Amino acid sequence: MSSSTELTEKKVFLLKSLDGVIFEVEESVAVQLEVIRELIEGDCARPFISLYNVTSEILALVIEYCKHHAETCSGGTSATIADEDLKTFDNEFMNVDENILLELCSAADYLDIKSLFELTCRTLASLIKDRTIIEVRKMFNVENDFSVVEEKAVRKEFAWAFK
Amino acid sequence: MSDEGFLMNLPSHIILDILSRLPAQSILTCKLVCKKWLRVISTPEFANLHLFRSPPGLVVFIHESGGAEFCRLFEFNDDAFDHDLHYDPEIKFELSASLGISSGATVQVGSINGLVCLRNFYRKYDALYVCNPITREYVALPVLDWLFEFPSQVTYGFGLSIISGQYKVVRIFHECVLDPTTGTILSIPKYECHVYTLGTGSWRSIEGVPFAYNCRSVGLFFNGNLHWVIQDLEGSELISCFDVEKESFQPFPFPFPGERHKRALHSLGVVSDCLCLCDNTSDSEIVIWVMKEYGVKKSWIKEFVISKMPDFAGTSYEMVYALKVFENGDILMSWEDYYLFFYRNQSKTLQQVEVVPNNSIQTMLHVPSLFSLKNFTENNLYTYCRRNP
Repeated sequence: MSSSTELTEKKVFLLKSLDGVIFEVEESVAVQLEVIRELIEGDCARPFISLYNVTSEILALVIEYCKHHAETCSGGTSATIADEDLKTFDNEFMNVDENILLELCSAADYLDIKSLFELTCRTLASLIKDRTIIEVRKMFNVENDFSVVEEKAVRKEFAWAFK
Repeated sequence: MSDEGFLMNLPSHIILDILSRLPAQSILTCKLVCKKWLRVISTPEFANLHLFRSPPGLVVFIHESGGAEFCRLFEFNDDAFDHDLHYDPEIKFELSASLGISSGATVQVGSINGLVCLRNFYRKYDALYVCNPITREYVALPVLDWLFEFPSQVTYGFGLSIISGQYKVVRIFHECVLDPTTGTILSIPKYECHVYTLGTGSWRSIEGVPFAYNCRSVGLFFNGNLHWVIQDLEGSELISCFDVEKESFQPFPFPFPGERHKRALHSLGVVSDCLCLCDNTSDSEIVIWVMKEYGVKKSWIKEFVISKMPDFAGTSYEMVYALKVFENGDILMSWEDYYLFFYRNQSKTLQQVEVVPNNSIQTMLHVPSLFSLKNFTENNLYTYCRRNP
């Protein structure tokens, strides 16, 4: 290997998902995952990094997101064009099934990717906004654990607000 | 662990983050989803985060020609092209029936962190309330035997002390003697200032008030201080400033930026996080001065000079209030209690906003919040749960 290629060669890291799939990512992408940046800095990133809470399906999406953000930010385009580009990408990226969205949100929290966490939380909030209580329960897969009496008490307090 | 189980155990801090981005009324709905959500929503941490994220909208009092008065909350978009005002019809209530007011007119005094201070007056009597239109709680402040009659003046302000976090209502009273021929104020033989701290149950008198002026506005709260545009007996305008924490009047940098005029049509407001003064004395334009650096007199800048279109031009006797400057330079303003209008930056035109046609409206910026008045130990705390017809 000549010295010139050594200089331009990009460092890569291996990320292993919950279901054992290994992804190869460049450093510029890997450091966007705050958790991994810490491992890299602490020199604990070899031979690969195991991510026990993220499935390969979700990890692939997370990497796609980080890759696009890393490329756009270092692409040399003007800040406004990059901003517009990211906005369009983010909108497209959020156009997924609700369960995926919830898993992405949870993964962004676990991997500590602030922008993706913010994006998924905002999107989930906008989905909840106009839904009924029953629809929200279904979306988040939560059960109504109120007793009849308890539910009545909450309802009474804000009677006007419940449609 | 199955995927479903994983989602069911979505950690509280994620739920908190998602739900704190919702409008206040949707959050109330979410209280009924499950016990965990109710717990998350009921924490002070949640209320604070929600308040921090809640975009300011408007609280509007609508005075219908028949005498009925309604309160409504409006939101607006801050997109580049679209600032449409919209409201949730559920958050509308009749003021007098809800607050148990029998007669008179109700006006806004101030709005802080989702709490609205309002004043009802009928003939010589005054009553004050602090209300959260989202939680539908209100406190009726104790009434003292204050009477006032023209030409005496009374003005109020609603502020928050920055260090101690206390909400305070300030009342200033002036007894005025008029020149019988010209109608101008000759002297002010008596003046008083009282402060009510929410949760204490009683008014306190503030001594040594250097505030004996003519004043037609309510106090504007900004940066820990309440501000009023006042006129001294010579007719010169100045800004009076009350430190809500220290409960004392402070000198405010002079000179007053606007031009001196016998029709004093200057209003205070906050735009882009700066104190501003909106001047409607000119027949042909509206001028907005902005104090770029708070308290620094040299930082007053004539930031916007807006030509009045023919429909708006001519001698005016009303104040114009600057409510919000949008990212694209559009400005939302109110023409006293008559209507709202936009200044469209691109076309340099003014455009009236139809909120409720043919009714008088009063408007203030308002951040909807879940801040409960139960946080204060008040004897006269009520809620109005009744749905509107």
